[in-house]
Amino acid sequence: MNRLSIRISAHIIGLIPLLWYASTLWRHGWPLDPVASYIAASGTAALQLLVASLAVTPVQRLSGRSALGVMRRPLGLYAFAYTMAHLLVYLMLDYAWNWQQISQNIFSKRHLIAGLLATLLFIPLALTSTTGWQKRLGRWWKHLHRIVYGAAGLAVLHYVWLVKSDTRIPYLYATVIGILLLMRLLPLRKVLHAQSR
Amino acid sequence: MPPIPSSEITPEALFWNRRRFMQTALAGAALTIPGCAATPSATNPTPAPDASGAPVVPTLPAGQGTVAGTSDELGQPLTDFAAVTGYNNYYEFTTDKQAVAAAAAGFVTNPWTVQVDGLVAKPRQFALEDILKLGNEERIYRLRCVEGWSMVIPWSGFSLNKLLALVEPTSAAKYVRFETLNDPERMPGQKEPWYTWPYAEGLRLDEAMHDLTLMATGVYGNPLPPQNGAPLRLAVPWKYGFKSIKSIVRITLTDTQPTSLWMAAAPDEYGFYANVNPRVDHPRWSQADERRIGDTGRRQTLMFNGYADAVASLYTGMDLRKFY
Repeated sequence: MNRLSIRISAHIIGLIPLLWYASTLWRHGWPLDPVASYIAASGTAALQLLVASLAVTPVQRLSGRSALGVMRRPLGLYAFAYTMAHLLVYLMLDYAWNWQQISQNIFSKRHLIAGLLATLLFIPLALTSTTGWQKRLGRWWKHLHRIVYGAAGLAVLHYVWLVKSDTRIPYLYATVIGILLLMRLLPLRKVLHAQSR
Repeated sequence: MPPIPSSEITPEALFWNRRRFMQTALAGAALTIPGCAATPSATNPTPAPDASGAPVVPTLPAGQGTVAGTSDELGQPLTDFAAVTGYNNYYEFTTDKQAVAAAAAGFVTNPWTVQVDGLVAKPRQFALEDILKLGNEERIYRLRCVEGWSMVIPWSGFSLNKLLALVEPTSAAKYVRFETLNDPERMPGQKEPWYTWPYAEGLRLDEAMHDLTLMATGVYGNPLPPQNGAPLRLAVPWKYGFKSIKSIVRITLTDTQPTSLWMAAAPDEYGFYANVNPRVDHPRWSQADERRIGDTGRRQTLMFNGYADAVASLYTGMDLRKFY
């Protein structure tokens, strides 16, 4: 696969949740509680794309195909876009910009605080995702972008704390993210070993 | 979850709230006839004429019977028939609210019997036909789900106290326990291990005897469809929706407080009383506001779901933060 087709694949992956949602509407009709439906769909999509973007480096290393690295940025930005959609639906459709209700709601609920923190951590990563910022920040860029694991952890926590009783799916996300993080840490340990020798 | 203060001292805000309950209860008692006051639209047999003088006949989608009222006593319009019968929390069938109607389609409710037993002088097994004879009045109630959404629903049925009167609760009876059908073959959700099936709920006897406590046998002018709890369910409008247990097969009068399915599943999240109370949050979400299904934005949740005049006196002197 050349770089262009890899790039196109990233966009296809990023659009899958949107297309899937459209097909759900087509098959089942418009949701009776559209606001709750949009919130759930956008939140799930954000988490899925976040996992996809975190999977790029481990897959790249395991497969030995370094060209796959170009998927990281678009997938991360799709995750960010779904996060923003999630937030926007909550603010605009669920709460109709009623800031008094919104602040009362957010700051009384641990899952909403976790979600808000995850979003806040995500913003600087999206803003500095350009090649220009990558160059400007130099080696600090990588350090900064490790924050994504904190954002992912908070996003999963947001999900775990939200569900009523069947926590299988949120814990599945937690496990996958944990494995992806371990896969990033393990080669790092090899590097450290090599240096200490 | 913020821990319940172990101190026995009532916070000042609650003290004043209680005074307010009593004042509203007293004011309400002077002005209202219990049972009618909260449901004036139920006693409105002819549609009111509109400005042109022609009677306003609500247009009804297919599958829906005739309903007399078009709004609750606060003037809030009925939630669409499609949402009332298509957006349901009924874990016995599926946890996907919009899939319940399809999953429950074909659920057979004939024959159906309801056993009423426990601390009663005349325990009895009722056939559904006999229960249906107890009345069929329309009551338009707000339903506030603990999840933070709400509807306005035209139920039909009769006050539960009519049924309880037939079995004559003894003086030892303090609580009423309700139980849903236990049949995992017909209710596949009961195969899920997360909950202690069958679904059970409870009311204090005075709550159960209250005129507002409805045994609903119909909705939107038709017999209850399976997804709404056919053939009979409770509608306790001042409590969160999960108290309004569906597809009831057994009613037992007891002297001990029943443990509901939700109390057993998450005791820190669901209490016995579960009165709608905007001041006492659920551990995972605010109860201060709610989204009416179909609306954008949220409305403030009312104390006792707007039925405080009729029911606040049941809880005089109780710390509603403790008895949540």
